[in-house]
Amino acid sequence: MLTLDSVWKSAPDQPHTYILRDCTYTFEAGRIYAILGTSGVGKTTLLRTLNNLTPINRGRILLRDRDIATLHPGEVRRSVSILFQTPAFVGTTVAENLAFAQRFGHWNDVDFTALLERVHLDPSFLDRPVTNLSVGQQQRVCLARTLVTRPEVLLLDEPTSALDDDTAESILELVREISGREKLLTIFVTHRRSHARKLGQVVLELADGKLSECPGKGSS
Amino acid sequence: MSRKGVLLVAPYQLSFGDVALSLILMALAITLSRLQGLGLEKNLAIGTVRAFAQLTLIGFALKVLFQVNSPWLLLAVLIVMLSVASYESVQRQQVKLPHFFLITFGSLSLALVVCLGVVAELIIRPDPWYNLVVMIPLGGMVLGNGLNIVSLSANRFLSDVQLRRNEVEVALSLAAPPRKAFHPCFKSAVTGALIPSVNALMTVGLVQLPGVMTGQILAGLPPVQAVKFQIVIMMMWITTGVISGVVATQLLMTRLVNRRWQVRWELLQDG
Repeated sequence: MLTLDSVWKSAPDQPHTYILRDCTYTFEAGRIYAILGTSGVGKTTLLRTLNNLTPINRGRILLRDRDIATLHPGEVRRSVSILFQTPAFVGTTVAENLAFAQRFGHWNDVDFTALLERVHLDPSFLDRPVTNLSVGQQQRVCLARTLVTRPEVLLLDEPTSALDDDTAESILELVREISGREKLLTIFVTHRRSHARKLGQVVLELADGKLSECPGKGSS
Repeated sequence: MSRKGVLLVAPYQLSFGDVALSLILMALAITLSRLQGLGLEKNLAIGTVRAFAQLTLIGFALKVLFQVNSPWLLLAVLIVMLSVASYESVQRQQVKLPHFFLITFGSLSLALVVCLGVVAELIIRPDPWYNLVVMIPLGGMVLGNGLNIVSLSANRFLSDVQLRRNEVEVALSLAAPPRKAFHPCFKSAVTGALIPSVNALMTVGLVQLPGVMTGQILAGLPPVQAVKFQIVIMMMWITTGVISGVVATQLLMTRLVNRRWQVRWELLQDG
């Protein structure tokens, strides 16, 4: 489904320090992967390369066996959605944010009300300004926004790091529910081992520029 | 528009002695700066010397240029003016982006061609068409305002892109083309840079009598004739700002992104 093929990627500010060194791994469709790694090891950069937000130095990233470098950037990003660590918005209200994603998502029949219900938010939230929401609610809106393009792959960049434990648990549960229902390939990076074990069907560790499977959790 | 204005009064003539008397005002400004501890004295003094030297030199240079008066000379002078304006714009940038000189040169050139084309050749219609007496002062106005707008909009655009990085990346990650992802930064940069020009357009004649009009009235032209010139100049001035600001910021945007719709953030780290 999504393959890293001998990928080399340098750190954003240090062109001679590699976050990914000849890294090869295949993520299979419909599964939930949790990637563990210490702070600064390059987990966020890895997700950014998968969403085509940042270039790789060498190697290939294959989406359905097609090199993403040969695909239209918009097509890659519609297929591979990313939820960032900190909620950020492209409109004032919830509806404006969802409409922005719809505008470039090539789907005209998106039901925003149903979308909000999928992330356990009341449809009355549609007209609310995003700045009036709690961080947990904002992250749910962002999650709903990533689903507008009907992606095949969902990338989650430590989406619970700014949340208290209860809210974090509920977001993880929501991600598990959505990924299972929509058969999404989900890649979730975290530095919290408990979250990785809880959500990941496969737990990987990013260290020394390589991804390796951690024993003890269903390996692929 | 009439090419020959009837003088209302004889033009006021100033001797160099008269001009030197304006130093009384500068002395007043320097004294005030010193009394209030503004620390502007040195810059005001250097600026005064430079203004006297530069304007005196340009006065003599213009006299020679107006006598020679050829299209090639006009082209050469405009290229020199464009180069100086582009160099000055590069110096004013907080983030030094590659090719910024060419970006400024290109955007100012376009503004110059459009505005001189309309104002000089369609409205004032000098004889001959390249008459340096008309073209050089108009070109100077276009480039002066264009330089300010390009510098302001470029600086604001680049700092806004850095400040709103998360917003830009969210938009890009949702498959928005870079032009759309950068649009909020682009809009605030260009409109912000144009605020003084738009305000001037709104209040012209009510709060201030602009330089061109004041100069022409002092030179003895009837006020209504001076007003006609001023209206044309204001249109040119604003359009120059909009063209150069929009084009320069759009070109900057293309420099910031590659063909894969990936932002080259490393270019912005040279703050």
